[in-house]
Amino acid sequence: MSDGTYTGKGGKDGPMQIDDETLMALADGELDPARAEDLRRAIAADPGLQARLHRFEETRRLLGGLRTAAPAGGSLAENALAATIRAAVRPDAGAAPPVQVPPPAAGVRLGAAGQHPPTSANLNRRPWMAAAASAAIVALGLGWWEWAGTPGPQSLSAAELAALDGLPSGQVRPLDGGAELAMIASFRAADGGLCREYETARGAERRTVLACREAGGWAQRFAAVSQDGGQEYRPASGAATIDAAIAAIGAGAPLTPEDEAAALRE
Amino acid sequence: MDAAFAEALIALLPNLRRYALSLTRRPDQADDLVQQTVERAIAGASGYDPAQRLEPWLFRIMRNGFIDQTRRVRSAGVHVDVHDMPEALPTDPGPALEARLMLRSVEAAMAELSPEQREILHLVCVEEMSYAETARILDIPQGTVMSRLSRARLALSERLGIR
Repeated sequence: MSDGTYTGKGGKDGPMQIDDETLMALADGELDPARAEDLRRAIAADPGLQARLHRFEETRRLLGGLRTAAPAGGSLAENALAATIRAAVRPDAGAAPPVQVPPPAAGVRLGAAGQHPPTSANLNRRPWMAAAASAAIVALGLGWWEWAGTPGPQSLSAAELAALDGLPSGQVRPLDGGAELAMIASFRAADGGLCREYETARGAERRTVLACREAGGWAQRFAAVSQDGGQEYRPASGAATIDAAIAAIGAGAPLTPEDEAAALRE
Repeated sequence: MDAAFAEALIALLPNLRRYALSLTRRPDQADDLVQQTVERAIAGASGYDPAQRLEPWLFRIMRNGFIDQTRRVRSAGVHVDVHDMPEALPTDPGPALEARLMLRSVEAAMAELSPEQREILHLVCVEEMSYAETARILDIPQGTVMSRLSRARLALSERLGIR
């Protein structure tokens, strides 16, 4: 990727064909001065270009207003944090800050089953789920579909199907009745098919689902219901854990946001 | 981490909180995200290249932390959207009523956009990141920044009635 100044696009002679991105780069001060000057001359002679430029200048100006309007309520937390930061400079003054590992790259799953030691396979699960999964699993015969009020494990609700079709990973969407759905990640199965992992939560009840896109639409490959903070972990299908289910489909690393968006458009 | 880094970090806390609010849209989660980002920045201070600006480096840590956290742990309970809590909205006694109303309209129009569009608008137009810095924060090519940003700007201007 070049860090150089964007020089814009456009014709060399005749009436300038100036695209939106070039006008925006001008409004944002991202063009080199010579190019910007050429553009400004062309725009001065063309009311149509002036109107198009105006939209980019105005959005920039209005959004800039959000920068100076300080959000309320942050100052107390900021004072406390500032003290923590200053204490970290002098290790002998007060408690050391919690040491954390550097952030992993976005979109990298922390350990898919089969590729890492067992301990890392659960890094991205909640601790209680890891504990429950490693303990004896008691299948109580209560599938999530009873909770969801739908007839069988293969029936995904319309809201879930819509989320599978369009909700990017990392985002949460409300469902009916106070429930909500969090899209976790997308994968390519060994056969190239698109699979997605998500969670739904209603009250203390949580459901983890893996669904794969097939010729006839989305099909559930794994589901497990758990009580938040409780001990129960009830797989509603064969695999013992979501990680095992993901390993079973031969999934690679989670798709990046761009790859995921492209896969969803297929 | 040296004292200069610490003071630079402290000076950017309001920026971090603003970006955290834009990502989480919930004041309590924004505070947690700022805290986590600060901890990671302190722990990873040796990895910071002083030739680069500190802001994009911190924003990238914050964004990766947010994505990671959203995937890993979601806090139970009722989520309160910042736009349902008038007291959590930006307040500023200074500007005239008209300006404040405009601010509200911009907030409301932003809320209607997709998270992807909201994020890029926030980074470039609110946080004043360059296209190159935004590309690094979002891990996407600069050309993608420009196409996505220009579509988001036009979508916002439609909603605000700017012609």
